[in-house]
Amino acid sequence: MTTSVAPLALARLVARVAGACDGVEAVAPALPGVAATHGPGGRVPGVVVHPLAPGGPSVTVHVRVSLGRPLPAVADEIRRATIEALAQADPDRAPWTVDVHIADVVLAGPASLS
Amino acid sequence: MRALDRLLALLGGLALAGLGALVAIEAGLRAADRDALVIPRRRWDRSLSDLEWTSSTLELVAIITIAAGAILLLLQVAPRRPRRLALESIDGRAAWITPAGVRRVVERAVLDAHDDVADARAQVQRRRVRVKATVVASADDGAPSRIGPTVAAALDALEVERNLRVRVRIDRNQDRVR
Repeated sequence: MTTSVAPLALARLVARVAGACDGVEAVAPALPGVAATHGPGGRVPGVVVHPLAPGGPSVTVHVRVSLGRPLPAVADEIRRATIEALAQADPDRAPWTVDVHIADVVLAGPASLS
Repeated sequence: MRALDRLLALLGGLALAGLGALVAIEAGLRAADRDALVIPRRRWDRSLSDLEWTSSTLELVAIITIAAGAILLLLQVAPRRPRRLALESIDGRAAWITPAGVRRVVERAVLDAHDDVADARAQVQRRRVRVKATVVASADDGAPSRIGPTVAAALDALEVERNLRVRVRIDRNQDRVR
């Protein structure tokens, strides 16, 4: 059940994949320093990797999103993209569970909610 | 706040560990029939032996302990502000949004939709959203009935899972204009 992929490397991968999703402004926690993955060589804020969680390996990703698309759809895209990337990067640990937390909503210009 | 919690938890843990070590040492000294290191056990033993149930000191300590316990219980039972709110789930998987995100959207929606609102402050709770809107002096009396639906529409657009109740309070302030 062990793998050579370190949690920090997985967290970097998740941050990159989630950050590229449509509507995501940044991968970042609501409070600085609270949610992050630490490891030798650095830390990834906004991503928490639990490779040995009792219910199976899981990842929590905190994002700031721009208002526009429905938020559940944005979260679902992040989840799907992240699960796919993790399954490719670390197949020994799959299936992964991914929780998406929207830490904040970025409002650029007048908000349009209708 | 969580950093403070962690610091306090660390200090509390260290204090308890130190206390436990001290008790273990004192117990060892007692078993070896040697003098105590820190705890004045002979004095404590004498004073506790002389203590009566009717002692005013005992009553005072009991009252303070019961009051402290009741306060701690109330603090635990009292509803707290949510750390996150569930969004509508897709394929059975939910996502969450922070109250700060909801608050930001609600405040912006009210300000954008109503020209007579100079300022809007929202408070997101577990079951309701309270909005305090500061309207310009010339605003009519129908502001609350117009702002409420705006907030409800903003919450619908966010697709928060729980149906949050909306409460609007109007504050008329002539000095604050947008």
